[in-house]
Amino acid sequence: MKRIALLLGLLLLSAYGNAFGQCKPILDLTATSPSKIGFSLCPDKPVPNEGDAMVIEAGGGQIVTTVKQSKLTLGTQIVRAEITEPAKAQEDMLLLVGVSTVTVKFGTNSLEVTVAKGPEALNTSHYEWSIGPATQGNKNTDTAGTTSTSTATVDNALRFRYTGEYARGGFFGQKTNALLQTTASLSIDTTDQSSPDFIDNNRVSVGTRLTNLSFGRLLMHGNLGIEARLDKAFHQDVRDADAVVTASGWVPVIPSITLFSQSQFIAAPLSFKASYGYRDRSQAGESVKGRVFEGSALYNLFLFDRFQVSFSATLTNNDLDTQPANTPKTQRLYKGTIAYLENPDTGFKVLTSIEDGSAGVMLRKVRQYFLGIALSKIDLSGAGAK
Amino acid sequence: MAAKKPGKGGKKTAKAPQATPAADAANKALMAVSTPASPDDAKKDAIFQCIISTFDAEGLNHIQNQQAKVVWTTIDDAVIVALGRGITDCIDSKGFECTPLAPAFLNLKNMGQVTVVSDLISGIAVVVTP
Repeated sequence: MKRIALLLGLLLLSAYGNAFGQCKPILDLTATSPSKIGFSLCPDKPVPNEGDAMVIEAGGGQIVTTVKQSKLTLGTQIVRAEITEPAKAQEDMLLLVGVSTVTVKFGTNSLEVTVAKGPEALNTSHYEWSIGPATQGNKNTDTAGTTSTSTATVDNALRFRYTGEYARGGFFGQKTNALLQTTASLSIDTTDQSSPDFIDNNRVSVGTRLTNLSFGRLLMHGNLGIEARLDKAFHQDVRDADAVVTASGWVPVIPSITLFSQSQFIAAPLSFKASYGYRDRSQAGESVKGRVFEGSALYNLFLFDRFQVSFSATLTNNDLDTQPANTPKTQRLYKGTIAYLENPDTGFKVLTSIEDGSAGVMLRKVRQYFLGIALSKIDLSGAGAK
Repeated sequence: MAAKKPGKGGKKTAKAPQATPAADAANKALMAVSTPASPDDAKKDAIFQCIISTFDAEGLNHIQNQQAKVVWTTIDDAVIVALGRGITDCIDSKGFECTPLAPAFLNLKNMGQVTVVSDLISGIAVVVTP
């Protein structure tokens, strides 16, 4: 009964939140032609016509533009507006620097529009969440390294996941640099069950990093930085505090692959995240210290024109000394997701996913199924970016 | 072994091949169903070349033909913005005027769409002038 009430509450919450799978009004500028502003507006809301005057309110000022083009294509209304006084273009553009949203007015209509953030944008924020059923598929209750007595009594759970990141340019607001960025992030992946046989991996972190690093096709869109982070299991008495060096990026020399299909799929190549540094673990009242390496990789494969198979693997290795019994040195967590493409206009829908292994503060191996089909039908998830 | 006699003035003369009535009829039929290359074809060709080069430059798969499908949801937002800006600038540099494409690409991701490259070309062509 409690879980049904929670589900209904989240359904109502999702009605007010940003639902995933929806159009959002967005604008972008071109560096080569600063007087030209492009919009993608949603056809279910009012859109301007060619020749209309349009005012953009941002940063306490106004940019006066005229709509030069307004066409319905690629699923949205694509609008090109040009600044009415080209001589003021550079000055007007300064109003949009560092701004996340603006108000656009035309006729009697007013719209909140998100400003697109490119690779050079250092001030960004985004979040994503989902909720759905999870089924425990592992009756073997071995810990990641050793065996323990089974305590599992529950097979099904309600799983909640959230990831959010807030980033600002410079070193904690002090030194500004075209590449330097300070970030704060929160990641929650847990269930409503206290059994250790379900995923319970939650992290808060603060760090600073160099962004947009590139080494030919070996590494693109790369980041390198330092980070302090705290991991906590909500349902177990385990906490890790880490100070680490981090690296992440794309590896285009290992592109996504399409097999047994008539047409090729274009997707992100192999991507990775890695960190190495110092860990302080508190477990059942005892504190141990040592070094830790954590690495994860994500890869996409497309099959039979209709299926997307995503693999991710996370490896954690620590040399913590005098650890409590049943605490693993090496942890591996694998995740496989299968999605089906019924209609290109609605995209891939997750059929199912399976996770197997352990990571971070999850000291016991879990095997957990996630049934995404129910999630996609009720659209109980959210995402946003600024 | 007898040597060939050169033609008049030492030059060989070549006769133009005569078209047979059947070949002539086939050519006429082919011309009837063919359409001459239009400015729209040149525009779409420029857009396709820009899509290929920009996707390559951002580290995505090399697009082999127009039947390829772009899975937007696997691509980071910042990279999608870079794709939109790169393609817009590339089309502009070929003598056309293109409305900034990054917002529309971000919405293709927001809507979870998978876009066939030929549809992407046709969609972009609508906002490219002349």
